Amino acid sequence: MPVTQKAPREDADLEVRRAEALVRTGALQSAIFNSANFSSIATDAKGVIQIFNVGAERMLGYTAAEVVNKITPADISDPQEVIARAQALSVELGTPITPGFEALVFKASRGIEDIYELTYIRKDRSRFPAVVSVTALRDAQGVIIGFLLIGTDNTARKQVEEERTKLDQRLRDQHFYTRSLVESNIDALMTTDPRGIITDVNKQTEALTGCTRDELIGAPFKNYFTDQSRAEAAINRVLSEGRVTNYELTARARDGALTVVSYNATTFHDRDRRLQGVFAAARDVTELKSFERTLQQKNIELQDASRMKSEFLANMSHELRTPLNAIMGFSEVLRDGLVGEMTEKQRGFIGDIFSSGKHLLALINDILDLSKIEAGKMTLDLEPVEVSSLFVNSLAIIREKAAERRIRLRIDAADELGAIKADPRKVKQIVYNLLSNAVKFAVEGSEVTLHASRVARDEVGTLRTGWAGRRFPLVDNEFTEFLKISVSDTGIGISPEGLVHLFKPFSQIDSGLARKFEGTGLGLAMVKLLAELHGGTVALESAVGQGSCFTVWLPLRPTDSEPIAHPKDEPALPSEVRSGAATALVVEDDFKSAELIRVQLEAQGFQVLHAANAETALKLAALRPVSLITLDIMLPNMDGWEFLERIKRVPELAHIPVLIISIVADRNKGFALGAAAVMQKPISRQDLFDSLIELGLFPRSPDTKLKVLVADDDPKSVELIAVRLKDLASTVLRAYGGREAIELARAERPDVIVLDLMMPEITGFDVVDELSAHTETTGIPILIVTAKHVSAEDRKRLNGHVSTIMEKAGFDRDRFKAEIHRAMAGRPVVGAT
Amino acid sequence: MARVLIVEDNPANMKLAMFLLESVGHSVLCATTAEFGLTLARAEVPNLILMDIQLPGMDGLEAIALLKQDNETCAIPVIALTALAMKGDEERIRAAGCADYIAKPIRYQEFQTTVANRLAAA
Repeated sequence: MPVTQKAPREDADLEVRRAEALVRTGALQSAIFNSANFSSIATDAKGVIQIFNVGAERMLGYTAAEVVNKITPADISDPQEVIARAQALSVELGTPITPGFEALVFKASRGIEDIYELTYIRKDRSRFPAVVSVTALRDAQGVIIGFLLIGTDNTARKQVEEERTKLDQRLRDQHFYTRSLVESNIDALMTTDPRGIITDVNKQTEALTGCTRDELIGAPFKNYFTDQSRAEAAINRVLSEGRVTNYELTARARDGALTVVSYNATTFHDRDRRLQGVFAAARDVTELKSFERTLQQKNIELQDASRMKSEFLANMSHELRTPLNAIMGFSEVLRDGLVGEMTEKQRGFIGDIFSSGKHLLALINDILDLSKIEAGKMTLDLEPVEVSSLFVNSLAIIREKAAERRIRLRIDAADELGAIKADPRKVKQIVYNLLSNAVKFAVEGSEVTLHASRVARDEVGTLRTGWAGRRFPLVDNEFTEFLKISVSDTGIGISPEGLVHLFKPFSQIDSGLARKFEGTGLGLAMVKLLAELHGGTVALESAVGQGSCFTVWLPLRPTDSEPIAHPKDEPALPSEVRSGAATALVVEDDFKSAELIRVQLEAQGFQVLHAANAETALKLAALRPVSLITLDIMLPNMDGWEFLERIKRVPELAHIPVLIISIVADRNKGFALGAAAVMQKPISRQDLFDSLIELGLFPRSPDTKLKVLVADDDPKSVELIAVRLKDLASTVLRAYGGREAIELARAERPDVIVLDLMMPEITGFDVVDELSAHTETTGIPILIVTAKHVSAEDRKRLNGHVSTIMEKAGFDRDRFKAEIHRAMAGRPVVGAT
Repeated sequence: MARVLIVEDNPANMKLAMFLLESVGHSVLCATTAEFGLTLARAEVPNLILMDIQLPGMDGLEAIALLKQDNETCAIPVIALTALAMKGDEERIRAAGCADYIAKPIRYQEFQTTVANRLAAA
């Protein structure tokens, strides 16, 4: 470019101005170049560094000498970024740009203002982000002579940016997480503001209402329920109480579909505990509701069915007992000869009708019991029970049957069994059923053993014979100790196949046996159910031809804290009244004493009622004909003296002999108030027995063992009767003629005489005459058992001297036993004459 | 011997009770409904009434209540003779005013003893 000539004056001025400008420019330049916070790098047109200021040195770690005239800024930039920038610019500007310095300054070289981010690399190879501003340096003609790159360290800003990005990401993650939680819930979730306006919902809420999220948000919550005021009340309740649980609402969807929901809600607050709104979950309980309704319906049906079953059973019981009354009533009076004499065959048939009737009655009773247990209607009346006395009682009931088959009964029980808490009637039934079964199936003349012991829970179900066995699981309960009761026999036994069927109702193993052995087939089923009702279980072991062993385990409930008195004010009356047995009422508040007296009285043939206080005793005495009262004096509330005074004032009860058995036995006072006898505790069996004799009450029973004289000229008949007397008599004296009978009677003074009429030489009639003529023998009761047809004239002759007349053809064990009882009691015999 | 009124709708059972009472020398009045039983009780004032409970028309319990309300008949002891033998039946029937309760099927010895004792106590 040509240089124009100027005037010298003008030149001088220009010099001055130029110098001034230079000074200014130089000052500015030095300010810029000396700034430590900016890296200022100037290059020539090719990019080679010409100036490298203090800031650049500080930021990049090079000295100016190390870079000036040696490298370009591209050499201290991230090469990857330089390549990327070159590509991007090539695309942007539509011209190929070389990755290198050109890429850094291309825009500036075209006069475009260029500020960009770039990573600089320090001398130690560490990196930092920089913001670089590039300017082209031109000469006066506008030709590019170099470039100025001013950079700032962007590290701090970058860090802030990164933090923010991370935070944003975390927020997004958090939001996503919350949303997922909300959406993945099976319940319809929604939040509302304190006014009940919906602020958020999940998909389930959209489904529930049939509305979109956008439609729902901003709308009043109550709009989506059938009962809007109730929905509003729910919100109000959440607001006032902080929460609402299982609040039932019915949601109505846009299409009208109704859904019963269980609404649960709580309020939610911000950090400053300012109320933000209500968070609510509505669970679809439609199915649950319908399930509940079905359940209720089923419950009602079940109750109906159960009630109908009870009614049916009650009706069945009544309807069956009504005709059975005539069947049993007539057949029994016929059999016992109340209507007149019959042939042996007729009597036999009538006996069959009667025993079939008895069987049918037992069936009815067992079925009622079984259905009661199965319906869960049978409950346990738990009270303390003396185990040993319970066994003695059960054995006493079965003794007769056992004797009939000449079976010995043996108790093998530890002495310290003590008392257990159980339902005495049901335990008695268990023991009785087992014994009765054993006696039925044992070989005639063999032995049946009742074994009892206490065992630990882990021993329950343990079998011991090595025979095939069957066990039942023990229900899960808290009991740790059990009373084990086993009944074993040497009998026909049960085959392994047979074991499977036992304990089921109506399953005497084969029908052949069922015919041979009478029984309802319900006994063992009952045993099992009763044991389970107590919380125990059963098992059996058996071998064909050897015998069986049935075992019951009953939990030992602690008896300590229980009051031993009779639990109920209104005493339970024994349901079965044994005919012919007199009733004794034991008034005694101490259970053990009462048990002792009861056992002793039962041994004397009494049926015993127990009253734990005088008030109950008065009620009982009025309810039942009572033959004897034993009275303790120290009683709660009303004492024995007052009871005695009261009972003597009631005309209907005054005649009952009262036997005072007490620690405070004031004989004078007792007799003055009308007691029949006064005894001091403790009393022995003999004391009681003597008193009963003094009072002229049934002094004996089979258990006291009688001395019996049997007189018959036929030795076979004597033996037949002797066998039947086995459990009644301790001594059987045998006389095979009238003379012998009289002699033995005089010498031995038997308790009772069983006499045949038709004997050669001295007949039964003669014996009766002879014995009644002598004071030492006149009181001995005589039972006539004869094959002779007893005419009216015969009866007349014997009348007043004999207790009863039985014909051999109609000889019946039960009756025989009852007659012995009556003979001993000196009671008149119904229909005997 | 005593005069005994039997209220019983089943003919066979009536016959049985009649036989048992007559065989020990009692004289027997019979009614097959509670209503007729009440009429007989008022007209004849028997020493004892044996009452079946489940009867056609008026039942035995109602009849007992009416007997107990009537001065003429309230002193006559009533023995229930019934096939209602489920748990609670005896208590219910005794509470209605029966002096004794005999469940069917009866055993004649128990029947005789109960009747004899009740007549002796009266």
